[in-house]
Amino acid sequence: MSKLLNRLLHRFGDEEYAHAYMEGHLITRIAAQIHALRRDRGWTQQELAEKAGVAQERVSKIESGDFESLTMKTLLKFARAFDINLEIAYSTFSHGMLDVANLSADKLVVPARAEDLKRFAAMNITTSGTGQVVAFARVSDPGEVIPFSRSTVGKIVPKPVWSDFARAEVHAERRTN
Amino acid sequence: MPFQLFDYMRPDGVNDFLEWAQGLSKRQRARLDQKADMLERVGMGLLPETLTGSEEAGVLKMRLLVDKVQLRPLLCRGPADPNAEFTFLCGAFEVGDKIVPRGQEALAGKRRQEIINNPSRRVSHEQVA
Repeated sequence: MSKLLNRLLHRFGDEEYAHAYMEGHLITRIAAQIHALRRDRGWTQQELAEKAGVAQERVSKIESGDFESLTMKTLLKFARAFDINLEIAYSTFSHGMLDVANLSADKLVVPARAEDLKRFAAMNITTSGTGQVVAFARVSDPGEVIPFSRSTVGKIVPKPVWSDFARAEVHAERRTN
Repeated sequence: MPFQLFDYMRPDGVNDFLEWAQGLSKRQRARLDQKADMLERVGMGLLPETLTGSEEAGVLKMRLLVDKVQLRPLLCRGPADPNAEFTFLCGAFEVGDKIVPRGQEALAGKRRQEIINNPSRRVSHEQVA
């Protein structure tokens, strides 16, 4: 276990400390994500402020992590400005500690709705053995064939398509059950 | 890339920044530790504006608002290796756009210079146990 996680594991035995620390992490996460998303979209703070309908000073304060509270209404304004979904959920402290240890700027950028829907439509949606609907990227386009040359004429072999992998997955699940 | 954190050490061997942190409430200390941990792990990569300049050249203010109290720990990059270290120089608060106690920014600048002249005047950053 990392030095940081060991320290948190020890310190989080104190309820007041644990909650205050994770409040700080939540503020950092929101601030960092708004900053990362704004940079990804190539917007200035003023442009984001106009799109979200808040003052530029407010964006600056939020991005510096120098705030104690944000209303749901403000969070939703930013979700609308970036055209992304807002997800708020309670979780365990251990889940939070792992997020502290793994948070990085590249994990904070999410595509806007149109791009996301395009990507999602190109994914394979299937139901797993446990009844959960899962989505995964296609390995190759169905029907795609290996390019052939004169030496391979007459031997067109289709590349494996996603359904083959899905079948293999089902067989693997059956074997392990 | 992880960063190394240090605290300024007074000539009498006392970690002044640790003493300041010991005077904070538990909630304030937890929030300070969270910011310090983030700084150690990713530097200013996640929140470039979490550290802002001060009136003193080379001295940065960490912005931290806890229960309506504005904590302003003063620190610097390096000074030995500005790309891999941060050093806490002294603690401070901000009240009505003014740093208190008065003169803390100048003190931080002086301490930074002391460390540049004598790198042994700092120790690894310590968190209140």
